[in-house]
Amino acid sequence: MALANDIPLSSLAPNTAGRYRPARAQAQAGIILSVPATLLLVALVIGPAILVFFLSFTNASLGLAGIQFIGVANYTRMLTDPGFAQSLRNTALYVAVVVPTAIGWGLLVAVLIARSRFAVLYRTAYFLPVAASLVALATAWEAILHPSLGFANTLLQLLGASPVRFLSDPATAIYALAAIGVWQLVGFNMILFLAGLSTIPEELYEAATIDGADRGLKRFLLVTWPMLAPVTVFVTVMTIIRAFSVFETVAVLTQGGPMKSTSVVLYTFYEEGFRFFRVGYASAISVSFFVFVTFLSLVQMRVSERRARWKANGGQ
Amino acid sequence: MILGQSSSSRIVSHAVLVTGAIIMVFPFLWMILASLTPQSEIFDGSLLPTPTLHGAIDNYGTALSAIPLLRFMANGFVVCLAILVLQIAIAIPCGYALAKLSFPGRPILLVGVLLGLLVPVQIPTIPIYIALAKSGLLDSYAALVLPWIISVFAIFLFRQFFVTFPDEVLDAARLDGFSELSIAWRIMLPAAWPAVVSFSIFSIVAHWNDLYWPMVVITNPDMMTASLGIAYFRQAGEGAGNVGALMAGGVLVTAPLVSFFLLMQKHFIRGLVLGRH
Amino acid sequence: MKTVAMILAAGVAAAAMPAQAETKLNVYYAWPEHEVIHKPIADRFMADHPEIKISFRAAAPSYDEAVQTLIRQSMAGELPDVHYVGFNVLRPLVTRGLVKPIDDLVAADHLADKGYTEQILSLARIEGHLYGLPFAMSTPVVYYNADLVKQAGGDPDKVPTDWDSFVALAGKVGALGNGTSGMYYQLGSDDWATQNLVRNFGGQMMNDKESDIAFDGPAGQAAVKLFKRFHTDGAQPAIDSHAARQLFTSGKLGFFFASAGSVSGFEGEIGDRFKLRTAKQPLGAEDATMPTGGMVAIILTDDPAKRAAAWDYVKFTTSPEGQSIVVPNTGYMPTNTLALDKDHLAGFYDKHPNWYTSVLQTPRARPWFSWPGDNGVQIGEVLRDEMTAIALGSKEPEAALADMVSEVRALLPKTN
Repeated sequence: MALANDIPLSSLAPNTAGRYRPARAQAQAGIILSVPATLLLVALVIGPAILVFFLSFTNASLGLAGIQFIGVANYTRMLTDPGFAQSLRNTALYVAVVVPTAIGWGLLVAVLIARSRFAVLYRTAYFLPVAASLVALATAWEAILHPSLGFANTLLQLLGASPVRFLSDPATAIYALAAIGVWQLVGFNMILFLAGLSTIPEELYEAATIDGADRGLKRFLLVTWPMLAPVTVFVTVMTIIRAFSVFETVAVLTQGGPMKSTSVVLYTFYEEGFRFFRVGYASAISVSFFVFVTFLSLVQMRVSERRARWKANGGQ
Repeated sequence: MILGQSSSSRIVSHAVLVTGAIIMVFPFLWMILASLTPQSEIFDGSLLPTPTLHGAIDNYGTALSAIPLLRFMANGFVVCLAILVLQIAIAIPCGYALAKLSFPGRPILLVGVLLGLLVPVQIPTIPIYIALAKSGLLDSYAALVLPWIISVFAIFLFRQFFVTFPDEVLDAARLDGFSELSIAWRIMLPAAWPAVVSFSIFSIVAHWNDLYWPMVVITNPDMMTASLGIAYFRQAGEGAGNVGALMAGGVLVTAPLVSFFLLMQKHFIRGLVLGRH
Repeated sequence: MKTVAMILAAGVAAAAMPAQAETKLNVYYAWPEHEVIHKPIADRFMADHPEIKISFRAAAPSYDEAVQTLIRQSMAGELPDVHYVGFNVLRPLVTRGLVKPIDDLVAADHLADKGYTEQILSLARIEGHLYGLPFAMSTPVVYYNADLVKQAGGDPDKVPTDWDSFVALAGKVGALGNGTSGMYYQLGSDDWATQNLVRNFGGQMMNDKESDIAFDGPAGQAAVKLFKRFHTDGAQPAIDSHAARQLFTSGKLGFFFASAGSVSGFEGEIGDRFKLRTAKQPLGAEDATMPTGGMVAIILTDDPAKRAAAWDYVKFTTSPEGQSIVVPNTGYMPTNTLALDKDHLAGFYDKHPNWYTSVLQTPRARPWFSWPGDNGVQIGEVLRDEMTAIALGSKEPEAALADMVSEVRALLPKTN
């Protein structure tokens, strides 16, 4: 709170004269209050982001002097690099599984919990993964999913199924990671939906009952779903961003393997930038990543908002 | 009452909830059981590990002696707290100014915040890393904390929260001679308390679990955070093969955060609800 | 507690000695499990040299990671003073100018009289300059579960020395049922294991002039085909090495290929659950060789006082005394011939035959080939990924080898 030192102490004391502050004073205060954040925003987010943009057109390498401008070579390399294409595919697959599942499941749980007598108990159980240390729990998952000795395979064999190699099989590894991702996000989304549900006025449900939508799915579609639209947008964007930036489970459990089947974009970025020191190339990856996530978030927001408006109009 | 009720639908809904809840809790259960089971018996073909007293003593003993786990946790705690306090101290005044004060540059700042919201947090890390390296700040609390003290998400959240705050109250406060700064701290902060709680949970979860950044800037074991420490222990000789000790470490690292959040759960939900009005 | 003890120790030391300038050495090593050797060596060294204080950085998870961390740290001017670098990654550090020759230090000492043979020193020599002292050496050996081998009808005293019989026996172990697998040839985190297979058929990774790759010849072909047979005929499960190691230590796997440096770790993890033994690797050709795993102690500091202290430390860690800590606690072979005398390790090998297997393989040990250029780590990853593809059956050996060839060529420096 170094901020307080920048402002004359006298201005802090309530003025008994009861003088209304003119616009100029307000402008001044606005600037003072927002200066620290503005400077840091420029220094730590926007400035570096612009720098990364420029670096993406160079052959910069960590620890080696001499940077050359190489045009769009990093981008063309990216487009022709099978490794990068694979990491895009893996990420898309991960996101495609995690986003709908984590949102749908979170919503289902929230709706069911809201009317349950054991709400607190359920809520606690579902919230547990949110608060857990992911690295520690990922290790527990790894043991549970052990290709031959783990709980999951012991159970499968008891049930007469053949064992699955989960994290060791390139065909299943990304799904195993996605399952862990869903496991971690459901509770978070549930909490957000629960908060949304509690703001829906009871009268709407009463009105719906009068309209004949007195139970089940009808009621849900007529009242709950449209009313949850703003929360759903928020949840969706948050989930997309978090799914796109999956890193911990990959770094701890698979390091991108087997056979690059779990090398997601952020992990590739980390490897290129901090392991292979190709700063220019890593920058190109992150710029593309930014464009991609932004595009997807915008589309998603548009779609959800239109849907929400449409539903809301249709529903009332 | 969101859905209508019948006894069959109630049974189905409980079945769904219970199944999900078991999946949610199971890894914790397994972790606790394994942390109490001798290393040699964890993978002995039985469905679940069977705890024994000496297994528990062995595993927790190893976890606490092989690596400075308590130190890692203390580091994680200091880092999370420092990040959180700075984030809030910087975001509240800015959020207030953006919501309630008209000043030159406000529209640009707002655009900057929205843009910042879209920049994935990993993007600026390369230049920041180089800057930290050049200034000799790697392997320090500063390296762990500094890049995160500006949270555009927090600014945005608080701004949204403040926008709906009644102007009359602010005008009254101004008439009483409050400065804008004291309005921010003495009126807006308490009013924003639910949003602060919600944001704190976002922030603490993110930074307690973060592995990416500590992995990049920390090599000195004395500076490791809990997540990095566990990831490190996992590869260490006594952790690599020793699932029992690793799980004991996991329990120790997970316990404080889980208990804290279970306590705060109610406030968290309330914060989100109020934040939406 | 530890802090209290340290403060007390420091107090006692301060009281006991006249004020003396203390030299601090910062030491960095790979493989966290090697703490069991580095700590005691440092403690003993500091007891003899109270004016030098050794501190450690967090160990790197592998040789490759260690080098990458060093390169990052060099940017920040935060290099450690001493590092134990993997034989395969000494070269990139030299190329980047992070480590300087120690020829001047060596010239002042009479190393030959102190048990350092020219053959061993050559492991740390690049283009005529010596860059450090080899600290530990190993070759890949076969760890096996003698109980399972016996059950499968094999003779635990005579593990087959040719691949056909070996793979057949592993297949029999895998057929025992009850979740048992035959063997696991560990690829590991670098290209050591892949190089080992190529060398096992008398091949090399690149030609002697390093102008082109050589692993695509008959030896390489034989290597990838054999690796496929491990899985099809030898009952090797296609799982990651973490999981496989757990399988082996739980008594559910017959044979496990790994560095001899893990003997002590394996014995500790297995205890008396089953009879663990080691054997020489089967050989695919008369002129088979093996890459020497292990590390070189190098000095990274330029500060004259620190450099002198670091030299003392490096000499100590490779002395008979240091080596008698290294060998029993890991499984590595000593790099100092004097360590084999009766005051040190002479009796040890008699009592621990599992340790001796690697020594028997030394006539075939060669330097671990280090790739020219900046992409050695990534080349290692390419090789590992293609080998994994063979293991999983998603690529035929020939196709995987062809892909290795084209991908590795693209990563090698373009000289011609």
